[in-house]
Amino acid sequence: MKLLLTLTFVCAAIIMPKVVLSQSLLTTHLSDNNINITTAFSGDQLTLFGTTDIPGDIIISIRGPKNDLVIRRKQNVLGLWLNTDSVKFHDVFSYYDISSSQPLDTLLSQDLRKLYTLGLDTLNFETDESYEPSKKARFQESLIEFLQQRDLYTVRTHKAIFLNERLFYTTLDFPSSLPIGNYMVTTYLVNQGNILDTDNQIVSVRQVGLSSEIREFAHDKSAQYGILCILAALFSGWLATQILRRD
Amino acid sequence: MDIYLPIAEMTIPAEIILALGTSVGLLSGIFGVGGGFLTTPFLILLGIPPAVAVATQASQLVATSTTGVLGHLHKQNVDLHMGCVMLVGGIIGTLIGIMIFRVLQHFGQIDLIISVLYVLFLGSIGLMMSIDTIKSYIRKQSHHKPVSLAQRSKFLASLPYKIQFKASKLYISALIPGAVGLIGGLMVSVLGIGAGFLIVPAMIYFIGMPPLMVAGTSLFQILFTSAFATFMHAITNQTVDIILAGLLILGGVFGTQIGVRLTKYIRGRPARLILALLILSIGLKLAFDLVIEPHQLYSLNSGG
Repeated sequence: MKLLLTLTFVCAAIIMPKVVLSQSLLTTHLSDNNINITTAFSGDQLTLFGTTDIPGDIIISIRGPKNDLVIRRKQNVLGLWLNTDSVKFHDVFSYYDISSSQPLDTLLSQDLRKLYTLGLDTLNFETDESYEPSKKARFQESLIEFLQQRDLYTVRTHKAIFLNERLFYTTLDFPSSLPIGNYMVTTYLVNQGNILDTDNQIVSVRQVGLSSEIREFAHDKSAQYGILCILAALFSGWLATQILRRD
Repeated sequence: MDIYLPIAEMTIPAEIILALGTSVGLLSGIFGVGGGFLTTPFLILLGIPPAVAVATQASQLVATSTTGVLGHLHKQNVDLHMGCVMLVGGIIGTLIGIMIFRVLQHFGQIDLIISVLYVLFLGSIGLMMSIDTIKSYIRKQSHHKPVSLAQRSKFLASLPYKIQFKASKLYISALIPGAVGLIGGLMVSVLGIGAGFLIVPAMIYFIGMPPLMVAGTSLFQILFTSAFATFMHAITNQTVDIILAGLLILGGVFGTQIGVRLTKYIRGRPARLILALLILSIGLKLAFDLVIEPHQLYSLNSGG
């Protein structure tokens, strides 16, 4: 994530030499920098406030912690459908959400979107081995499809509400299937096909309360946890007999 | 009501899990099968990571089989003596199975071998049971007790270590139930399920136990093997989700009790036919999955 941040800034510095970087044109604030996952968690909503010095459009990207994913493909071998082919992708965003005040392709050129990886078509995941480009593209496409089906990848045109020329706010929706970790929320100020300024916020998604205690217990004292699970199962099985027998 | 699962790291409607637990418990109570072959695919379908689904359903089996065993014990439908002999075989089978699994994994295509094994076992057992039961309906045989291989086969009858199993009214070699247990243990570790659907018919046809005794006795064995599996999953992968298990158990114990009560009204033959058809249909479904072009050619594995 840090690397991406630095990269973004380096790229920004190269593309926008005319803009004085020390003077920020965009300031954002999030209603909360933590999302707490409790036992009753069913998604969350954060509000992002921002001020701009220049009128323009807003793009907001949310990127979740990266992980490795393997995607397999079935093929017909002698009448049976078997997993014959697989591609392992590295550093795949576990969550990727782009919302913009106007459709993305009307705001920025393809090249610029690629540079900032804004839009599903600009994603390009790393692989260990070098695969045939068409094969890699097919596997990547179906991987993104999977992630979209699970509400983990979204791109939407989502009006940022401008209270006046300078002040805007927008709501960010997070689904219940949110992976744990640190998320980077980046706001881009766009004017006439250029990115004038960006502002970053970090959101930390973590388990709290009972669910975090269970998780820690299961990881730190796994043998005790296993025995506890067995005892609890034995007890509830016995308890059910006792309750239901009384009739 | 939505509830967050701390190990699976996702939110799920509690009602669906409760309903799944209840229906699986019902099967378990009536037939003595664990229902793992139903629970695991369904949980995966809901988006729960396969490793969590497999591990958690093992702990659910502990609870449902406890309820089942207690219910059957109450009606004196458990042959503890037979159960213990099978368990010895089961433990040996589990350990051998873990080694076989590693070897198969090394050569890849473990999924294929598992599927083919399922189809072969389920298909042949289901077919054999259905034909036998239908035949007995047609002939309207007066003697209900099936003649088992243990009594028919000269080879099996000549095996040493003969033991008197009082509850089942059998005098057979301990090696026979031991072997059935061993195969069950192998299945548990290689196929990752309770394998009750395999053990139950084997107990009827191979050992020749009275059908009434079979459900309780197989649950007795499943109780121990699933407790062992739960522990192994918890310490090696930390994939047992206690919240998910709790919901499954809550539905399961309820379903099992109803199932055990229903056995009073279900006679041996129709029960056997229903189980046979159930086994056969699952075998057919798996066979179709292998042969018919899948709806989704790609599949996603996290980590790797």
